[in-house]
Amino acid sequence: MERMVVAPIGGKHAGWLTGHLSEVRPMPPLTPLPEPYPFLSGTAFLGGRVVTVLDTFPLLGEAAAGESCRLLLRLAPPLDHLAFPIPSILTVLDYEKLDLREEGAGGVWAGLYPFGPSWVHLVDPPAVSRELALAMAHVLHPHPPGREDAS
Amino acid sequence: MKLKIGLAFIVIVFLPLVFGIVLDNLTSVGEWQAMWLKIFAGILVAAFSALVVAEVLTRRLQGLAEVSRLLAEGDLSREVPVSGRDEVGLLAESIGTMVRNLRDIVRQVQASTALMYDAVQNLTVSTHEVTASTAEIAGNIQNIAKGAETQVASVERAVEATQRVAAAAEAIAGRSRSAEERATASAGRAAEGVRTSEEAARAMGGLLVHVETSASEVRTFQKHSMEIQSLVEGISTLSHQTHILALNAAIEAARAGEAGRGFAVVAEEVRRLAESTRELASQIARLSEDITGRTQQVVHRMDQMEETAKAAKEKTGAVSEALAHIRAEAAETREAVRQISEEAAAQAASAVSLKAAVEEIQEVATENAAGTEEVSAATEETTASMEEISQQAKALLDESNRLRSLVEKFKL
Repeated sequence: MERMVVAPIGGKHAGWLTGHLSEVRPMPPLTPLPEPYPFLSGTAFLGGRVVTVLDTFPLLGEAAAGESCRLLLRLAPPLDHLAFPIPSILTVLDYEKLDLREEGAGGVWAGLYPFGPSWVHLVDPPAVSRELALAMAHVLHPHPPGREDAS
Repeated sequence: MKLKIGLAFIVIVFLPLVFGIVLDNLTSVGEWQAMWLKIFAGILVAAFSALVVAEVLTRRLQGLAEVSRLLAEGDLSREVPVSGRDEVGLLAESIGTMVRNLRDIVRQVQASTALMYDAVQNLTVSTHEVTASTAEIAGNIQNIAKGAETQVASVERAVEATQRVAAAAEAIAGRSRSAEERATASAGRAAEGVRTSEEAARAMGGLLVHVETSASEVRTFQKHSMEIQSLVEGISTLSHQTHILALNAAIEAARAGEAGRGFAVVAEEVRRLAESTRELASQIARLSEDITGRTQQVVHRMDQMEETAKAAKEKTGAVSEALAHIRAEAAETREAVRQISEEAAAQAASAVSLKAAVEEIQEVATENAAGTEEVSAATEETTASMEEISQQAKALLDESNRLRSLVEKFKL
């Protein structure tokens, strides 16, 4: 059975399947980018590699996390150059794929997973990579055909 | 005159003698004829003698009559001629003596009249002056009588005021005695307060020592609590790291697939333990934080208590000092109040004496007012008498004038 790591993101919850993660580690010092980019907080040097650190909060429509995140979730290869900063791990749930509601899918989200009275937005790592690439292309080319924004 | 006397002697003495001798020698004449002759002779002689004597007497009496006429006219300046030692001479002498006496009397009467006139004139003037003075005195006495009435009224008010003063002095004396008792009680309480405050100062000193000791122990407790909190933070960090480690182990087990299933169970148990440890550590941290916070508050309060105890000790010392001053001042106040009480008692006694004196003054003033009324009445009577005397003096002056005019008719 797969397990899902749940983290509080503002007033919402975000979830990552353990199979999509390579490690959980304390938040390392970040290197800021020379120019601000959407969804990017900076870069970190982890295990001999430069990792792109995303900003999880805007992905859920929340205000930027700032320095409140204490943990870093690094995705599993081949996306192990991406990592998500989170304030803390709220819990680790047993994941049943049948309980995933795909009505909430889209963007970087695979769907909504029930969590007590609320829901957990389950992160879809390949979609994250794709949306990040589109966002970067949108930044580099402000009017890409067919897409308005990354979210 | 001598001739008249000699002639009268001849007529009276010698002729009868010769006629008798002649008759004695005429013997031829009858007895009866002789007797008739003798009688005739005698009558003749007597008539002649009477004529002579009458002439002499008339002339002498005429002188006296002239003198008497002048006397009747008031002329007393003439001397009465005295001739012979007979009855006429004696009469003239007597009249002369009378004239002299009258002259002396008239002189004395004139002098007395002048003196009386002057005296009556002076009396009249004096009477006028006395009348005026008496009227003035009467006016003054009336003023004095009014003043005496005013004085009586004033003295009555003074009596009332003195009675009030006496009552007030008595009340003051009573209150002064009460104040003296209270001052004595206050001095005693102040002394008791000094002792109590000194004991309180000692107690505050002991309390300050206890507070300082307690503050030190609480600070030690706070320090230990902070150390516990630090240790709990270390445990929490360890549990957090263990939790992350367990998560990573679970991630690795998931990546290992079926081979990592057992390891995933162990990793999950480790993660649960780490989570439980973290929760316990979190609870301990909250408790420790609460204890630290409360200890901080206790320390703060102990500091405040220590400062309060120090301030209380200082204030207790100040209170002791103030109470010592109060005790000294209370003693001085008690002494002052005692003196006031004595002086108030003396004042009350003086007020009683004053009241008696003023009452005596009131009696005297009343008597004086009555006496002044009587004097005023007597003065009015005197004024009336003086007016009567003045009228009588005027009448006397008139009478004296008339008498003087009468006396002035006499020529001396």
